[in-house]
Amino acid sequence: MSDLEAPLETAQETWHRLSPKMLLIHPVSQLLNALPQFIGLSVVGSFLGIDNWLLGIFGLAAGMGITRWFTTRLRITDSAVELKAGLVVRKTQATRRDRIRTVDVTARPLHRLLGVRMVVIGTGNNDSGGRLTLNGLSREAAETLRFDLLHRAPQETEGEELVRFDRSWVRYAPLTFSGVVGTGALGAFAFAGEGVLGYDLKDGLHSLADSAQGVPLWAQVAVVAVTLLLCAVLVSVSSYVLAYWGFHLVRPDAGTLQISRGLMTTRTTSVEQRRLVGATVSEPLGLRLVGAAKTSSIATGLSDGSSSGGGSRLLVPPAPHGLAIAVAQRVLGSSAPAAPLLRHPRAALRRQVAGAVREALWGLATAAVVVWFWAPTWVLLPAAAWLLLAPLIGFDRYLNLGHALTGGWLSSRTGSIERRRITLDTTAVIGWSTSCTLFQRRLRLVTLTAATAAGSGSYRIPDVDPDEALRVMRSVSPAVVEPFALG
Amino acid sequence: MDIALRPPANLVSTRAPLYWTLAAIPGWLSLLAIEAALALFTDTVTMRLAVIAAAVTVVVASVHLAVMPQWRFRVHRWEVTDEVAYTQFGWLTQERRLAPLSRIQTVDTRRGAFSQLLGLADITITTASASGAIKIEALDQEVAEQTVAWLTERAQLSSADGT
Repeated sequence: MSDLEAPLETAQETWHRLSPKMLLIHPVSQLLNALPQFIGLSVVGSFLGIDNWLLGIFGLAAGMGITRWFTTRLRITDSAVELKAGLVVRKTQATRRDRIRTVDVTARPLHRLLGVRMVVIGTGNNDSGGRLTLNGLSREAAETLRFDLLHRAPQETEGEELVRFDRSWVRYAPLTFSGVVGTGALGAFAFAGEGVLGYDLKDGLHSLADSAQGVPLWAQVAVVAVTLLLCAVLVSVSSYVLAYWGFHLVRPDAGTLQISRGLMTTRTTSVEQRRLVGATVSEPLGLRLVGAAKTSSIATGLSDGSSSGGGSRLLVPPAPHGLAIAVAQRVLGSSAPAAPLLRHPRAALRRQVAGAVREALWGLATAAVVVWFWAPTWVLLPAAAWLLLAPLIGFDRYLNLGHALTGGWLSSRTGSIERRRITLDTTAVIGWSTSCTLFQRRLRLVTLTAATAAGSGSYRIPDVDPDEALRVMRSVSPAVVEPFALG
Repeated sequence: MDIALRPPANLVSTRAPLYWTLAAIPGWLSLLAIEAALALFTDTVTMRLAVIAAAVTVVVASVHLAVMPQWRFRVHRWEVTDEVAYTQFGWLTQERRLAPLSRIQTVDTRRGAFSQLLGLADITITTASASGAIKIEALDQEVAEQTVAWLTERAQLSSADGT
């Protein structure tokens, strides 16, 4: 039995303990995780006049942390990684080494302070059972393990650098949707926190509204709008900086891609190059308007939601469009991500506009129902504006629509508010489907879908000419399609 | 379907239209039950709306039950060759799916209550793709069993992991 302070001898058949520094980290992180309940209890505690409860909780957390360290054992053999944990329920997890697809090294602030790392080994299985979490290896041991598991020699040179973070990219943060979402979440949190923290938000807002009585309406609206805007900018910039600060994408050797990022919590992900079968370049409207984009990978066995946080598939954070494309090209080793696309038939324009209008009508109908029951009438306003803009959105979708088949790569671009272009290795396509609605049959259009084991599982090319769809299917999968082709 | 592929060779069971009819009835009945409950236990405005909705539901349901099963029967077809599983299904929206047998991961049969009543079975062929499953609905039970045996044998011949 040895502690994992020194780099691991992976061939040894011994069971190891995690770093003893976890004796400090576990209790602290457990306390931090329990902070919300902690605050709630402190209110209750002060009411009941219990003073010693704080000591009790701290003891409990420390005890749990210490038990966790004493009961966890880990073994790395030539063929597998095994983990035993738990006091009451003993759990043994094992992963065969040849099934390992990703290795994630994460360090929260306290981890970094003490030189400890958390290693998450992914097998490509989507559920948490497919992941093995080794929380508490020394920094050196984590590095060694990463390279060992992906069958690589320890890294000596920096390798090929693909992306290095540029501070000026932070200017793109307010243009992503994260600010809007974050402000909404903050607002919801503020309302939800009323009970626990003992303030009255509605009362505050009302008194604020009362004191603004003399101020003209336009000024009130402007103040509210500017405040919300500032909140959104603040939230989006801070989340961008926290997540992507120091973003670094390198290819240490021909077989691996390594992504490092994060300001407080740092995170390094390694993905095997041979699992990488494509890339998505996406341009949410805000980014598109200023010529920016982000790039993420499409890899087999790595579904969209897997390896917690989701962002580990990201190859380029919101950055200049040219860079996003260039990285996609270098990672895939092909010019396909920038290849010119074939425009779809004119009939597709009608269908795209009709689709956008239909969505807006659903939105309006939903708003009408909501207003009918309880919401104020002004809710109809944004829904009506959406309906007016819908034809434009549909037109833009049509302009963006396109696909191409270039030297073993299938590209497809779709969307308007969230425009994205996927590029997929055609050898990764494992099946096809073509579908058409009543409307599409009248317009002589089909939606072609390529099924793959990578990424989200299927990639759609909407509203293609049927003959063009057949041409794509035939050239990608002749053995599958040819027996049924007419003429 | 305008796409220049010939349709798959085999029709589904002749009892399939009856199966689709039976399978569609519970959904319509539960919608009617909700509308009836609203009509009986609410005030005048909502009651009137519920009665109108129920009338519309009856009309739409009768049209659906009269048209959908026969229409589906004209569309639904399937074929399994040495290399490929190929299906065509739908009615208003029609779809064709193709997958090479070398990519098959699992082959399942399913027999719901209505299927058992009519001696039918569904086959689901899954591939490594999260959304590429091929489903053949409403086959005669013997046909389904033979097909599954054939598919299982073929899938064992290819040793790759299907990705």
